Parts: sequence; structure tokens; C-alpha cells
Amino acid sequence: MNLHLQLARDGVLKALKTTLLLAKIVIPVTLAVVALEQLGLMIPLARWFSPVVRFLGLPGETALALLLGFFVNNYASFGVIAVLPLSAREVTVLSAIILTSHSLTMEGPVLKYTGLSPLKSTLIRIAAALLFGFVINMIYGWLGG
Amino acid sequence: MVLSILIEGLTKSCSTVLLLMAFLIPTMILFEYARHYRLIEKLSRYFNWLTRWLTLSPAAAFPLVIGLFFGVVYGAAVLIEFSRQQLISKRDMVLLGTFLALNHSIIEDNLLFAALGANFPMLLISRLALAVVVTRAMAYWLDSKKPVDSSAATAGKS
Repeated sequence: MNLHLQLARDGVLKALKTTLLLAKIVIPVTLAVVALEQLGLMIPLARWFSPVVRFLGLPGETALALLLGFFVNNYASFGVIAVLPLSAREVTVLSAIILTSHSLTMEGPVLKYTGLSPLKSTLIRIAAALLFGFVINMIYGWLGG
Repeated sequence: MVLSILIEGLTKSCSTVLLLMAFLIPTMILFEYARHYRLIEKLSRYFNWLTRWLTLSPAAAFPLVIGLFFGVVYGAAVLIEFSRQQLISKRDMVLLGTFLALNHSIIEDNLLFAALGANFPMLLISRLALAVVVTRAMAYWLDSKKPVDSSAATAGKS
């Protein structure tokens, strides 16, 4: 068989297999998040988290951005950050946390293939991200920003 | 209520799945070519410094580079392939997962937030530093645990 045809066929087959595998993660996760949103449970959850964000030098409303980032994805928290009046320092601290720890429900099961359990990767990411945000905020404090 | 959750959830997840498929097909074809022409070995040379920093074998450079630039979900195909074929050791696989969990999709994601006013070089460099530190800590922990495991295994056999 033609080499290029063979390589292309193998690639497509592997891509379809992986898509099917990821669909099993994507579909239930999306349904759960949409349910949370439509049942109005997202806002009380964000309010509960606001003491944590004050410790990072961030205003209370940013808790929603963090939560959406953690449990939905980057793009969800992007939408929240875009509408809040925040300084460059606050946006950088928030971005650092969200970029380190996002889409946990989606990426956790994917990272399982490396041998890192979803619970472990989630805990490592949330802990590292919050500490990271704290340090970045402190660095800005030293620089006087 | 249930119906509207189902409709919105299925619409959103279907578009995500289609997006994934559109990304995965060319990526996996590229991966097949890369494997056939041994591009993995050639590419790994340019990322030797990073695999060395992370105490990984040079063979880990390919999934590392894919994850760094394409992200965990889009890079999943390559990660799964590496883990299924056991192309790198279990230790390296876990460390790779730790590193990529904290630092992936470094161009697209960082630029996204830079558009909102975040400091792009600060994000790029500090995330790399954070991920290296945490991965090295994990490596230290895994390697100090290992002698205990192997002695337990030999004790079990004898």
C-alpha cells in the first residue's frame, strides 16, 4: 500500500479513537456544569470562596472567575475577568492562578493516562496555583506595582 | 428544566467534540509522519535542556513539546499513545503529567490572558519556573520512595 495513504489512515483512525475517548469525558462534564449554572448554584458557590481570594489580594467578585476557571475552562473565566474593573497586577495574579489550574474536571481524567490520579493532579494544581498567585502578588508588592 | 439542560449541554459538548476531532485528525496524521521519519528523536535535541531540568529521559521530549504547545486535552492522543506503548518509563510519565498539569498550551493560553492586560513574559517565565520546581519536588519524592518499593518486591518474591 502507498506509504502516505497508510500513514494518513493510521493517523485518522487514532484521532477518531481518541475523539471517542474524550467525548466520554466531555459530554457528562458539560452536562453537569450546564446543570449547575441553570439551577443557579454557581453564584452561592462563588460567594463561599470569596475569603480565599482576598488572601490573594483580589476583590471578592474574582472568586467566580477562579471557580469557573477551575471547573469549566479558561474561556469561562476570561468572560468574567473581561467585565470586572481590575488592575494589571490583579489580572496577572488571576491569570497565573487560572492558567496553572483550569478545566480540572476535564483535564484530570486526561492526565490519568500519565499515571497521575485525577484527585492528585487536582490537589497539586489547586495548591500550586494558589501558592503561585500568592507569590506573584507578593512580587508585585516588592516591585511596588 | 431537565430538557433545557440536556439541550444546552448536548449542543455545547457536541461542538467541543467536533472541535477536538478537527484538531486531532491533522495532529495524529502529523504524529504518524513524525514517527515514521523519526522526527521525535530530531526534535528532542532542541528540548534537551528542559528534559534534563526535569530529570526525564530525552525520549520524553516529544509528548513534552506537544503538551507545551497544544495543551493537555489536545495533546491527549500523544500522551495516551506514549503510555500505551510504554515509550518512556512510568516514573517519567508521572513527572511529565505533573509538569504538563501545571504548564501547558503556553502560547495560546498566555496570549489569551495577555489580551486582558496580564503580563505575558511574566506568565510565561513564572509558570515554567513553578512547573519545574514542583516536578523536581515530585521527582525527589518518587526517587526516594523507589528503593523501598523495590526491596519490598524482592522480599515478596523470596
